[in-house]
Amino acid sequence: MNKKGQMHTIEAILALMIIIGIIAFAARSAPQETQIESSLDTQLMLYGEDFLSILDMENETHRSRLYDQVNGTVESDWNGAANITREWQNTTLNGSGIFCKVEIVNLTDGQLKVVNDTCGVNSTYGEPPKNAVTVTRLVTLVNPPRVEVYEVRLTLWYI
Amino acid sequence: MDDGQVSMDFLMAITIFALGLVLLISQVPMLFAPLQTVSTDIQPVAYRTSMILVEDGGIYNETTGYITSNWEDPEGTGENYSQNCINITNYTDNVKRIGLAMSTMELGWSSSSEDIVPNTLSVNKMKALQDWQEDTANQSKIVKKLGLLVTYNNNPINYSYNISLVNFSDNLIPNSSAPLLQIGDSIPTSGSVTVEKIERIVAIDNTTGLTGNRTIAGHECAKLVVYVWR
Repeated sequence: MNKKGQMHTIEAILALMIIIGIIAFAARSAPQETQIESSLDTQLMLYGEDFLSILDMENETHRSRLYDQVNGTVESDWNGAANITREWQNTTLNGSGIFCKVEIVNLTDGQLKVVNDTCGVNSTYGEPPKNAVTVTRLVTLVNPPRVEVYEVRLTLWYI
Repeated sequence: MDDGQVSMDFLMAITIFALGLVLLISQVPMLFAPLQTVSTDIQPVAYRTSMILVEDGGIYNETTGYITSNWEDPEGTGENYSQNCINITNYTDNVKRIGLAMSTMELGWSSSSEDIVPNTLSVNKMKALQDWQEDTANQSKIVKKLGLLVTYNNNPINYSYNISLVNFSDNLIPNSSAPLLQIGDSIPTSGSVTVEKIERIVAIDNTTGLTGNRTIAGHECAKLVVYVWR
């Protein structure tokens, strides 16, 4: 056996520990920049919930803008989804690359019927991608003797 | 003497193996999570802080048992933060939690089933919080009232924070010449720090004298921006 190019066991272990130690030290002490993070899904969900909450804020008639949009869509030839989309554009968040799609869905009697959506209005941005976030708000229309439940679905995504 | 020796090939192989093992273990998700509270918990803390500020009115509780969410004016006298500090014994200690949501009393309706209006911030509460920030004697109490000074395994954990009210162009909303709300620490710009940022869309109850806000559904709106880090 060729004994050249060999080292003693203790030296080898020490060398190994020094090598790993230096690599670990270098990895830990490498300069890192301050990172400002924001979970995209959480942020989109909060934008959506805040927006719908403001739209659904009770006014002095004890109704809300959201109620009126859904009621107008159902009762007359009113495009509530397009109006809600215009309100979203007032936030100017679409300038930051956040776009929305609005759907008003009739949930009464077990139906899931999309009454109104913004595909046509917002067709520039197409359909939302798979990683889009959808937040919802229930609106109950009380027009005696009819009581109907609608769901306003706001889908947000980054481009 | 040739005994007790090891080949260079073996040394290189064991080095590569050891590094590979370390790399592999470090890639296992959540293996070291219990040891990494700093990097894993700031996101929910920032979320919680934004929830407390936007969807809660706060709690003011005197030792007599009197309790209200109108912590900025607990006696309903219309006095500001400085006057409350003078006129009310232990005023800042009686504020148990800081929330900025508007009270339903401001609506002037005869009755309401709710105590506060979520997502609508009270200008008076924001002014009181800003005045509190500028009160150097009591400034340090704010972090606890925001739930950002907690105890974990008997060790105090103190989060740094920066909270401000900005318009949709990310400019501070002014109140006269000063910002209406900009409290907390300076956001770090260097060093190995992860800062969590949460933005909330909020309505403002009284925009008299304020500029830069935008109207959504008839409500004057802005963004509350919360940064949290350790």
